[in-house]
Amino acid sequence: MGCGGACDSSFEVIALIDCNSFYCSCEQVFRPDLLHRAVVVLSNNDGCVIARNREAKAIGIPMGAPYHQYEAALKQNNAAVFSANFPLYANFSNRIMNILNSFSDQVEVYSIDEAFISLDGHSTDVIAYCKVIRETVLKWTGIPVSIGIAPTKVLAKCANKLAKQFPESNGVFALTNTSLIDSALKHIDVDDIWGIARKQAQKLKKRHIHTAYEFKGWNNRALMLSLLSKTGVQLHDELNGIACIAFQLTPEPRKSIRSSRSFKPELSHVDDIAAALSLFTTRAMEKLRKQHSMTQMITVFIQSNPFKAHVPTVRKAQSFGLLTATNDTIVVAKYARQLLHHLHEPGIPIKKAGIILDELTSEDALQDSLFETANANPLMTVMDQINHRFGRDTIHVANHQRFLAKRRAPQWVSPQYTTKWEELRCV
Amino acid sequence: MKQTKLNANDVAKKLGVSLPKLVAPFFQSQTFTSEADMVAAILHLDKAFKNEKNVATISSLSEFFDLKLSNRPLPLYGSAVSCGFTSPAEDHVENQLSLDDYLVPNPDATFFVRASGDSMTGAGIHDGDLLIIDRSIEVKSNHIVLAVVDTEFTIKRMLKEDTQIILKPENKKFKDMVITSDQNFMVWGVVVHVIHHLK
Repeated sequence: MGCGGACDSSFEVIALIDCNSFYCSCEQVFRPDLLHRAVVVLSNNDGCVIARNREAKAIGIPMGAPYHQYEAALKQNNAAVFSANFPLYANFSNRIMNILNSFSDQVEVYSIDEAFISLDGHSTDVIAYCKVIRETVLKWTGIPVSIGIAPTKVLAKCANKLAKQFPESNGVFALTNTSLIDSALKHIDVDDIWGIARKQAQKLKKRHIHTAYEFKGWNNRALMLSLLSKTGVQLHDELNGIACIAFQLTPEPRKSIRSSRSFKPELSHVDDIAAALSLFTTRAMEKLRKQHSMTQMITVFIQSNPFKAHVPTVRKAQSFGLLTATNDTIVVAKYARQLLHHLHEPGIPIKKAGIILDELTSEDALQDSLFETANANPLMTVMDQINHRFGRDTIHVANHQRFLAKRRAPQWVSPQYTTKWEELRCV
Repeated sequence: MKQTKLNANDVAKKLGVSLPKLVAPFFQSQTFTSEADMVAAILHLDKAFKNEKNVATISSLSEFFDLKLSNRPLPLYGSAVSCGFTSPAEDHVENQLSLDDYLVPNPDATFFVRASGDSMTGAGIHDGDLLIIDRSIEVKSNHIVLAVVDTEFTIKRMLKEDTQIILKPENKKFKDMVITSDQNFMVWGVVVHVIHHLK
């Protein structure tokens, strides 16, 4: 595949592995009675639907649906309703990412339930190889995944969508030749192209570009640049099979905060990486509080330099899920550090590390409700204000106190089957 | 004033709290003037780590990172530190045998469940025992498995003859279960170990 000057992706064949209705699938692993039943998972405080399985989609439950509006429909269809159990989901995510690491030495964890892997040099029959990956993840963890294979990330996203759409693909779909790519892209709306925002899609539609195929064939690069900016041009190149999007450039998954940096020189000692990570954590948490959010999922990742021949490539990530949302730097820093110690391998220089905060909920949503407790910490707000006014790090957390009010606990949290001795499944 | 070096682990044990691994080195490198001081410090940290309300332990972020969470690879020795020559055993303190290595060779595919009932006592599986299930193992006839029959979990020995599947209890009080073609049957995982408490 050709690659222009601006390209820095090292991949030739990419697979995007995406877990099917991930949270619902996690809930089903220890509940054989839920096989073929509709399952939904609700957000913090049981407010709205954040995950639905195929059966729940079939009864017409939309994403983000307020629970109380659909309570009757869910009951009528004998649906299982769960409050989010992020410790459980993080545990399954970590298992799956570890399994992917054994299939490829270049795994880029994109979100809690998605990862890109490089298939370079692994097998001549990439479809067969991905079927083995899919079977292994399903057998070892009970979680079904879909895999899209393509020369670029944007096309891999498209292929993944098709793998989910067509049952006959058995969860693996490859877009590896031009005629197949072209006919597939005709079925994909520009709205659904990864990285194209709704407003940008509207602009394209005004110019009679409705499908990914039409966008791919559009060759007015100057207009493209002015309408969609540089990212849009890159997406266009990716649709044409030219890989441009390196990991650093992947669009942030919706509703998450990422803070990371490359190290020069590379860092080997865990304490040095931890020091850097604590800085990233502080930054990410500032950003989190600035947008008045709280987090329930913390992911830490480390990467070695893949272009060094004599050291093994390391690209690893681990997540930690919280039952209650927090905006507290100290709490998150503690978990981030523990995750790092889990990931770190002595003697391998680390080129890049970072933290991703996921499953964000609004602070206000928590405070609005009379019976809730929030872990929202006013001290952190004051600290941010002072730091903003007098410069970063003017003050650190001094005299850390928690301000807890009463909170109505989520009602339908499943047991922490994989992370608590007291909550193991009885069989 | 005479300074003593106490063993933080022992003190923590007496107090009935577990000292997080991460802070152990902090205590190792600290000198406390009395046992009471050390007790106070341990209790304080224990509360902080359990995220108890209104614990004012951390006086600055840098202190938190630099001291309390520092994870220098200093193992906490089982004996009080004394002057003089070092024990040769100390070179190997980190070289512990790990039950994880022994029982869970493939952690990504391994799950723990709790046994209930007494249908498998003949196989050494008692009510309340911890079962270690490895989903990565290829199931064969005669394996003890965690199976799904219709919508229920069950632990049984699985016998496979041609196409017939029999789930065999290991207790004469129970009958064999022959799986019929209209039943939903699935092997969830193979039971590889039983952890039974002897009191």
